Amino acid sequence: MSRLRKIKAPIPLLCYGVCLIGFLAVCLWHFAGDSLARANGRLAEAQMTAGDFVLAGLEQQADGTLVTLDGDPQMIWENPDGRAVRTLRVEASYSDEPREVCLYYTNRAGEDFSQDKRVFPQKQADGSYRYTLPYGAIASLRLDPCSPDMNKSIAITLGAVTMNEPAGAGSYFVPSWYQCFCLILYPGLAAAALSLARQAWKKRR
Amino acid sequence: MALEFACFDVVLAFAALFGLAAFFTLRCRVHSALSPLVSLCSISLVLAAAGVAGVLRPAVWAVYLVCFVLGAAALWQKRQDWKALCTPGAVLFWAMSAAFAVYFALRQPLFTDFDEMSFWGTAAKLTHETGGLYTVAPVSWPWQATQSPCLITLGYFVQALGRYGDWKVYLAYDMLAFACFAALLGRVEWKQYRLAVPLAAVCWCVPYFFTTYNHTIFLSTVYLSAYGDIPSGLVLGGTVALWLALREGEGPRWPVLPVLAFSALIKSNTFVLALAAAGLVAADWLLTPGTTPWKQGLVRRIGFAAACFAAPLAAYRGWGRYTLALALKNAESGGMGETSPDVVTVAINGIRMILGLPVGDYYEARRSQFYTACSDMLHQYLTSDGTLSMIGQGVVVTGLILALFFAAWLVAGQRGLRVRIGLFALFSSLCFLGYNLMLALSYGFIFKPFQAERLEDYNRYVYTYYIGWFLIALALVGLALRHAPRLDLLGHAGVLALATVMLLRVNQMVLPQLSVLGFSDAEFADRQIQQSRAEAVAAVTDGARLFYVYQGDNGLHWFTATYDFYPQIVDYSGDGGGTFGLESLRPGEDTVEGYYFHPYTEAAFAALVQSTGCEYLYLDKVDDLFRESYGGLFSDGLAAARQGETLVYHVDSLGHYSPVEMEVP
Repeated sequence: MSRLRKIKAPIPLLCYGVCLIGFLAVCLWHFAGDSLARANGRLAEAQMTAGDFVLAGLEQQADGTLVTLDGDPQMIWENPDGRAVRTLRVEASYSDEPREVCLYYTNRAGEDFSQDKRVFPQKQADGSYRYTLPYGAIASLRLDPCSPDMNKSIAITLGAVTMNEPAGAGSYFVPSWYQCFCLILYPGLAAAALSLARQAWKKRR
Repeated sequence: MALEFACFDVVLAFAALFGLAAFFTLRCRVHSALSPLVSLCSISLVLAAAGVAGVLRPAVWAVYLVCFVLGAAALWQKRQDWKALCTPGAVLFWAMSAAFAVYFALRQPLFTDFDEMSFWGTAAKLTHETGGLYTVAPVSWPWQATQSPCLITLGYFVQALGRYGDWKVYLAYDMLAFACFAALLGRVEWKQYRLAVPLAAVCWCVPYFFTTYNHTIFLSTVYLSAYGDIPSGLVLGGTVALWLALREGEGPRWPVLPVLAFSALIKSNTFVLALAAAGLVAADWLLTPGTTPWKQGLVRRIGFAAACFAAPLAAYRGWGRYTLALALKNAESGGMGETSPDVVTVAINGIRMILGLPVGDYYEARRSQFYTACSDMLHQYLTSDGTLSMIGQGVVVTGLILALFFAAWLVAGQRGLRVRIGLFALFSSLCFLGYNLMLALSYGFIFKPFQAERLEDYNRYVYTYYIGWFLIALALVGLALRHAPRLDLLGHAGVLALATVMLLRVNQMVLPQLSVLGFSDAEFADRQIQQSRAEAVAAVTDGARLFYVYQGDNGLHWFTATYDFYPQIVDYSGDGGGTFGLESLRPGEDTVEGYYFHPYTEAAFAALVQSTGCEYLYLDKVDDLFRESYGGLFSDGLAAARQGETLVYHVDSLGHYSPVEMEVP
């Protein structure tokens, strides 16, 4: 404790340092947790087909293609065994432009899908869509594979749908744009708060 | 195209801006937190003036050259003073601008909103592609574009030497916002970081806080918009903050003048805001001379106060004369020569009406429209029907802002400063009343009756003032806290609490993935489809004039096509978007098709196409109504269009339309 008191780093530097270390610690925690889950089979990679989903606004044809029936096609998957879900990569080809694609999730059984729990994909070089879900229990997923224009129907040929594809260790440590913003702003605010608290303490003494 | 080539113009613009800002700081003693705003406004004004003179392209080269030379000379001669360039405000501006430049270059957001297509974005593209102001660019609009130029020339400056990109326009707007934030931080020093950081956080939140009132389910366009409303508010606040910081130091006072002139030419309604800012600055300078006796230097103070009004007035009147001449010229050549009633004339007649004095027939006929608008605006201001911000309707926002003024007054340790804060609160409140009067006059005497009836776009007109007003109050809080405040700790804690609450509220209302910091690529999927269709059509039409058909359009698709194809011209095509068909097949009035329906017989449609001189028809969207009405004019009865094999038909010398072979995206 006495050693800690001797640290003379300015408060902002200290705050940015602590936040950076905290961020790296959380990343490391996620990486370790996922590695452990992968080792004991809770985060196993799995291939999915259209049959694993409950289809709404979509109809599967005899040749396997999915045809949209309305403007809001959905593919719903309920997590049967509480397995961990981190990523979903979807390969698909479309008869027309898919427009918006996204993935909704819930954390509890029976919970409604909402705009607040929605992730957008990153389009990969091979044209597939990769969704990354936030950490936490996933009770169900709702994949919106496309958003057809009014009065249009789109035929979707679903390719590989891969859950929990292994990710490189580096990907755990790359912050999103929003996290970058937070890493710049919040340590600064924390430093301002600490500086105020220190002055208040000095005044009181 | 490699990213580095797409961005070299932005890098050059940054270098030029840095050069001018460094010159202002090192040679003219303008604080480095203030010089970005002064530089951006000065450059934009110079380019606007050059555009009016018809020498925009050479002028932009000259501006770059002058900026480089002045900057290099100042940096070399004053190399011992470089430290003056590194202040919290300056770092905030340059770091955020650079971060957004990189971010936007990678993410490449696109214009999507109606007015971006109908004016702001298209004007930016016209200016860039022609190297002249949008007002004189060859385009098929039958009306004369007379909107104010400064945001357009600002967007032009950032990318003048490179390829056009929507994201570069967004970047220019955001740089202006960051320059206003930097001015608000003003003379805050590094050791005052506990004030600087919360102030910066509050600034970041302001555009969200006063424009968003619902939990977002669509992309929030804050920091991703080419509309002029938010920038107008930010510049109003930024101008007064700039003035406060200028007055605080020993440096010159003139840098506020180009910013005042700039603010008069952001949008047509910002002239009033520029006068409000000029009035606040002039009153502060005239009425509170500080430690010097009141009479001492009175003439000089009066002179400067007059200059504060003269700068925006000269800019506004100059632009007005230019556009009036253009409108008359346009009328002579067969276009529309009408302009809206002059704001000053409207104000005089509106005030006469309020005072019970006689007014002309035009104004008498609109008496009830004016008073109904006044009543509706009051209703919006007072009740939850008018919720427009994250804390509620106008009266609540006013309460928050006045509370902030009171807080500034409370913590100010000097009597003189308290008087100044009181005067700012009083005069800015009066300006708020004046601004509302101007809005009511606009709804009463300038807007069409149906627009006045629903107070069209009222929120975005009025939140402009709230943004500026809030920033003025915030700047005064910052000023009070920097000068021996009475309640030092409490004041700083208050600003920190304000920042925390605003951040919390913004995070509640705007999800990261629906904000500028995390938007999805899919947000622009529709625009990318439109662009790829336009590219495919352009490839087979060889720059020829296009007749445009999009059944069910409300004008947006026509504006978008005009934008996407430029410099290839999309014809006005009847009425600039809408639905074509035989009168006998007129859709119901309550549909978009019915509202924007253009009834033409087959022969009339053929004659219309013929009269436009278009060589091709671009059938962006056709329906059964179009096929039934005009299928006979097409050699294949529109079979190729129906089967998705083409979007383009060629018009031959006999007026027959035949399908053009193409790859339809």
